[in-house]
Amino acid sequence: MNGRILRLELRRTVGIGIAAIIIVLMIGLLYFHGPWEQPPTAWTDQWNSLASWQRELLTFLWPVALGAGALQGLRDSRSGMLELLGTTSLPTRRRISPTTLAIGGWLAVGYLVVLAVGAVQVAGNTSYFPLGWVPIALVGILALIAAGLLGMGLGRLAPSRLTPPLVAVAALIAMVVLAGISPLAHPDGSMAVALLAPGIGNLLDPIHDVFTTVAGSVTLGQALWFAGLAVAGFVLLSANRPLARVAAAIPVVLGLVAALLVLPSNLPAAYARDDGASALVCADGTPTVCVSRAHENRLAALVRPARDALRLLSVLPGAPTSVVEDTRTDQGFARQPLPQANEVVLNFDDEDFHHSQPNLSPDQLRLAVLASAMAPTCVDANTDESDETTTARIRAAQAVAVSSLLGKPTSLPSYQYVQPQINSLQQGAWQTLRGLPADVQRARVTAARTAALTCHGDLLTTLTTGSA
Amino acid sequence: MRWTALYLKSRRAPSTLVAVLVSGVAVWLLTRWFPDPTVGVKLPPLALAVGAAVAAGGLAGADPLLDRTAAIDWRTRRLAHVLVVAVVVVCVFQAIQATGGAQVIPFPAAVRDAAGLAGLAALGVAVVGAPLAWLFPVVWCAAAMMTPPSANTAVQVITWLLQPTGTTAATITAIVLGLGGALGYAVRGPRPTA
Repeated sequence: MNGRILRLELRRTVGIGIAAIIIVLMIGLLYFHGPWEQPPTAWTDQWNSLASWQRELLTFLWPVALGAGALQGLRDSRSGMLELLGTTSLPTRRRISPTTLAIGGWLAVGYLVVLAVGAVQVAGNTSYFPLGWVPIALVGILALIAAGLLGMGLGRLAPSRLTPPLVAVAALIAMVVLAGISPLAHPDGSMAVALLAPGIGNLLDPIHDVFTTVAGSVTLGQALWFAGLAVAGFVLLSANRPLARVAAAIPVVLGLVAALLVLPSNLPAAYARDDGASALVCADGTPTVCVSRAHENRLAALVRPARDALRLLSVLPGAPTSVVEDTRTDQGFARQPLPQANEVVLNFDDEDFHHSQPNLSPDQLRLAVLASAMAPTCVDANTDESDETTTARIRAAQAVAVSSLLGKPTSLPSYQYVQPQINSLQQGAWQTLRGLPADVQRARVTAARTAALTCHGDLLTTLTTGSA
Repeated sequence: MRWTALYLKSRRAPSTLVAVLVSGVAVWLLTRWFPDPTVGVKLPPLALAVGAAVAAGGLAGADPLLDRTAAIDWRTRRLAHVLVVAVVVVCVFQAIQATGGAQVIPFPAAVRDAAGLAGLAALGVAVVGAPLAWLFPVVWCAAAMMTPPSANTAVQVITWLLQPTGTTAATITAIVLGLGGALGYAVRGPRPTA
């Protein structure tokens, strides 16, 4: 009996339409334009990124789901059968169960379809499969279902044709205001209150590494809050007396209090280091070549060019003997100590690696490792603001040092807007350096590398004059 | 006169007007209260959007199929209704701003936004029927809020509501939506709903 009604409701409610809207809009926006396209945390790059960016898009679909739910909640009164339904002996809760199941089911289906579209691509882009993204996605589904149920409850509470647009726009306004309260927008904002919105992708916006994830307290707090809203929606739907309707406020308040107690109160507490993703995986044999588990699928292609590069570097006194990926994160966590002189530290998001572009040729990879060996490890490309000239001088020095090692002028991939400046600096310095005897060149390159590792002096000056 | 009064009553003009006024005041107060500039840009268009969204429900009578049987040329009346929606939404919000003493959205931008949104609401009524028509302005607003700003024309078209006055792509989008929606609705009429 109930199965038949459920099938009927699956076809006749607004659920199918709202699922279609969710799928089309989410996928459309994901492919159109946004911060979710930027590697290394693009929505198609890592499981955590996919789950978090999809959550961010809920910011604009949550209000739509709320409004659609409200429209569904109006159905009984719009069809003028409230009194008739009141005369039946079937308890209201039993009667509305198939309808809520149908709406919740369609909302979950819409969310899962988009998740599947991303999952297919993520599976092709990374070999690292953590389980930490699953709760993030589940809370997204819970938030969407809560919007549907709460909307239905509000529609039943205030059966007016004005209810759906008003609650939808009110929710949209709430999203804008909550985003404005976030410490990311306002230095003295409240993180816990801002996290009452379903989106968490804006937390990812300033993060440019795959070793940071949202803290478990964020997910737990949001789960409590949206569970409270969902229960309130169900109470509103099944209540027939004013007092019972007032009771719907109880789960809302309980959810809110519990969430505010659990949710992090400041920005750094909202992040956690992803120890699984940042664990190092090393290739067999020597010299040592290691990458993070998140980038394990790049190891095979990297090993041979990296070892070639180490061989080229071995002519330098105190040459590095291993290649290791930089797994430091940039959100205020205790940074790992500066790498030792005998390590080449790689960052796949660097311009050397064409900003996380996959499928670089062995030559490009070798060049990237050589350039990384000459890079100042004290500058964090993601957080340290440096002016254009400094960037160009460092980049030119790296290129000249690599040219000297390879014995031929070599240019490195760089940002388009500084490329002309780098080229002219590089040509001048290369003319000076190439005329020198080989052992002097090696000494200069060694001095430049030491300067880079210890963060002292200008690399280009060291190369051309021998002293900083 | 009598016809107009009956028409307005059948299209629930009084409750719509109250909703437009109250929601406009609420958004204006929130914008004044909230100091953040990015929020200050995003909230004012929502005041116009909520007006268009609630007015969308009034673009059809209780029974669109019955309306069609009348020996009246509905097209001019429908066109006039959409135009009045746009004008009322602008005037109400302009009045709120004048009374409150703070202009949160420049008048030309308000005219552009209201015209486009009213057209969008009318399009919604023609395509999915009056009860669901609010989805059109609301969903477009939501998508515009989510899309990060960029000088790209496609982005400017999506975020036309948030563009400063005089952005060509935004103005053209508003005109296309306004005219297209109003004419489409005038010709097709509201989609009948159960």
